[in-house]
Amino acid sequence: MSGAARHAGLEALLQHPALWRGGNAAVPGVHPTGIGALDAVLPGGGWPCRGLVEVLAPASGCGELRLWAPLVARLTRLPAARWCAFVAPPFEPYAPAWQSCGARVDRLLVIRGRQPAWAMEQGLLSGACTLVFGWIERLAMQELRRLALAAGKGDALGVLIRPLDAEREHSAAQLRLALEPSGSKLALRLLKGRGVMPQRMHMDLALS
Amino acid sequence: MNTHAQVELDLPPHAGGVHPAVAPPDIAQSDAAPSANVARPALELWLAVHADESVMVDPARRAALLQRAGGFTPRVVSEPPDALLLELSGSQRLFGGLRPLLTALRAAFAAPLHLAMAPTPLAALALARSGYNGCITHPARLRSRLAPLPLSVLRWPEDVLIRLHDMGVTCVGDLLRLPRAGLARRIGPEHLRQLDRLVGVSADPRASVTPAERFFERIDPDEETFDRDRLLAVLAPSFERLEHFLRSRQRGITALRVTLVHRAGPPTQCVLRCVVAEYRAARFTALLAARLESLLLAQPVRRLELKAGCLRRFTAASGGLWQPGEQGGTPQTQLPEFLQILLARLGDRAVYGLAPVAEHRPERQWREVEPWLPQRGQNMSAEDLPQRPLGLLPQPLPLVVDQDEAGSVRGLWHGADALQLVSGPERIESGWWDGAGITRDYYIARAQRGSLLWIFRERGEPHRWFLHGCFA
Repeated sequence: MSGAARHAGLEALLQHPALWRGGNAAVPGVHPTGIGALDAVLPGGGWPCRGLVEVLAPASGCGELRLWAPLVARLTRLPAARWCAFVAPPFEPYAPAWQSCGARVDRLLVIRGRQPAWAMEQGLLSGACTLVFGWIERLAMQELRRLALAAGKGDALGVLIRPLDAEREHSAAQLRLALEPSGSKLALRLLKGRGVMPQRMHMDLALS
Repeated sequence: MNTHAQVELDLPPHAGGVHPAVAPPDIAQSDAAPSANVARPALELWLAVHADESVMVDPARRAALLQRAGGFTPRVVSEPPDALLLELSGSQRLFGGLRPLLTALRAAFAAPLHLAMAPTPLAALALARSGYNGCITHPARLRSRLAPLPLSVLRWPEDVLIRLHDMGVTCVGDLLRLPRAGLARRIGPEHLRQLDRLVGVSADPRASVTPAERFFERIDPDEETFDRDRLLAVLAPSFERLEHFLRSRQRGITALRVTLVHRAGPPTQCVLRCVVAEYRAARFTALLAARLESLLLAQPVRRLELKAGCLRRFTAASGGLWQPGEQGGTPQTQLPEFLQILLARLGDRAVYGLAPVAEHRPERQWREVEPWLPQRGQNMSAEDLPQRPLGLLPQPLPLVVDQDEAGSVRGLWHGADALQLVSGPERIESGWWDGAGITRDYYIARAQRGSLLWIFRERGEPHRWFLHGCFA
């Protein structure tokens, strides 16, 4: 059989209505990340509008928030902007820096306390927040699933920032990324995403 | 005894609630009298409740009377030392006319209180003080009703009354017949003005009192208990009463103190804070449940006390078409409930918003704010700032420095992570005027594991190095 014929056969097979391909999975809605190279690899071409995303980083300061700064700026600048909450961050979100990346500081909310998972779930569920960042190291699968469900209900995006060890655990997050800074570049491994293959990419990330 | 029989009705034959306009009385027609040029006051209906001074001096009984009066009209005027005034023109329709209203009033203010109704507050007072239990709705009949009353009902100063008595004036009718100019000379213009108000020639605006009220309840459960659900069940009727109390006043509260009293030891206080004025029993129950969940009771509860904070005006929100969280749900209505639940469970300091401050010291360039309050942001213009980290440590963290004998730096570590300077220095010197001055050189450093950190070196001795933030 010639190569062309084989190709045609494959095409015909792919047209079969009973065949479902992961790549066609509908992503309900995405926000552009503001970083072109990232848009190209993410399912749907951007950050999901709702759901749960996990970012695994070896340490604070790898760019785990700088990745999101354009989205925070965009969402807090909307006319009817909802809140963007930080649950149990290991530092204080620094207002002047957020302001200089274009975010509206009066839409940022910091939540601390002994029950970060509960607080994050409440934030996602309430509908008052559009984006909730949570720094929670240990989470049971059940808690992850609760967070994912809450994000769906509250039309919010939850971003969990966890250490690299968490890669070995299963997760209910619809998108998982691992950050590995190498030199002045940021290497980003896409671990899990609807309809995309795990892959690795390098990118430059502005400081703020 | 039929209390209704006491009420003497003096309604005009065509009385239906609408009264014809009244021609200005002749007394007002002389020289300086307020007459045609004065705007006629709207037709009012004042009820005076006259009691013994001993009744009105007692604060508890006085408050009870005020509260009962509040059930009839929002316009209640306190008339010390012996009377209350209620303006009832707006209440007739609500009670289905004047007769049912009078019956209800009689039931609420039973003898020995004297009730008198008249179109002006002073006339109602005078009639009630004279012991007349009745109702004058028609301004035209006011003068004839007032005429036989003794002058003492006016509560004028003794010397004025004696002077009038010496003039041969013994009743209000005599007073009204006197020419205005001469009367003003003899008893003063102020009293003449009062006379005008008495008969309704000039307006007599009154400030109504709003009694300051607090909700307070003490509940003794049948048995001492640790159980949260049991406590909530015991409190449920009280929360219902609180809701009714607030609803009927169209007020909300932003703080509710629940005190759990134990047999021994100090009572446990739970202060439930609401971000916006709240009146719903279900919300109070939810807030208390959240608070009780994070509370460890050392002893069983034998008594509960509820004390509401001061009443606040609230605008009842109309229910949204969308459930909270559905698309289209507005953040304005959802944030308070979300914050309330967080505040109740995590404590007051657990949730805060951010506001920039115009300062040059990095640690003072922002402050915590209460996110539900509108903010006046002092913004530093964004272009002024060189690169700043998204996360700042609450306290600068000392770094481990490897120095040679001459004091120059060979290496910098953050824990086990060696740091390498990427850019800098940026010099920040500020605050020398308030004793918390800084003189620092800031650098951006890259750690071995790849994180970018914001570090500084003190310019003064001993030139220590600190970690201050991270480019998260």
